[in-house]
Amino acid sequence: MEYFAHSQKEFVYKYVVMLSDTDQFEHTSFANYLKLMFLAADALFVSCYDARFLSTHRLKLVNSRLQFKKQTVAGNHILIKVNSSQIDSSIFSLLFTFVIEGSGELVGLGRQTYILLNRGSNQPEYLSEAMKKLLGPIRVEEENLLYKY
Amino acid sequence: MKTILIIDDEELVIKSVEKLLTRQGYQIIVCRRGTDAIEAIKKRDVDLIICDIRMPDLSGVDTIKKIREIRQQNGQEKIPEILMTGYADPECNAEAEKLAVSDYVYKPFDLMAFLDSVKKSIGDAN
Repeated sequence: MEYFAHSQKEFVYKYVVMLSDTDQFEHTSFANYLKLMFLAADALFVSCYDARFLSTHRLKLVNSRLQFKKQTVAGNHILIKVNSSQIDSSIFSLLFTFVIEGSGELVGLGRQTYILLNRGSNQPEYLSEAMKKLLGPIRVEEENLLYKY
Repeated sequence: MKTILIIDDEELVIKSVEKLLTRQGYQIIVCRRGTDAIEAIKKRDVDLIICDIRMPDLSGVDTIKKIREIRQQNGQEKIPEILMTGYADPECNAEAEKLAVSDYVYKPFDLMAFLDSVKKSIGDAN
């Protein structure tokens, strides 16, 4: 038998749950998972967020969805695996897979769709080459994925 | 009809993989714990084992080792195995490499690529 390991390419953002993220039952509050999607998306695009880009463009969230599977607590290291799908001229979707580092347990699945707008006219803008370079390598065919986001 | 044993405690994975492989004409047996899988394999033969590495009672690596041991004692052939994991640390990768399984995939994965791997491991690839 031949041994080989493979995985799809993904952007990974890591977050350590702090006590301030938890509720009275010591579980991470639901809103934090939404925050994590934004943090991961910002981390993905940070290299193309220069002053010129930010003064002329803005990313508008079209829709956001989260399926919650497992509680996390303070001290848990959450890995947010980010993939892209349905990349169009100015619209794209990000798929988020939340897992606990170490155990690999699935915490949640998220999906966000963004549109790139001109800050002045509010009209859709073509995705920049820099953004396409970030989204292209982590692109997946959503209908073939193990999870439904 | 070829039979595949899926060992995983994650319902979403079981559902997706079971649906995919049933549509391809495979018979599926699902075990949610390593110990259940060891009992199942004593009762019937399967053509492929798909096993998660991290499970609550017995890890995937230990489950595979135990199944191999039982089959060896009974003079049976080794079954092809595919390991899956949601988080792979170097230690985990080294263990999987030592086992020399047919394939080792990280979740989430593309089901079509996974199906190719299943067919290759089970000997159904063109």
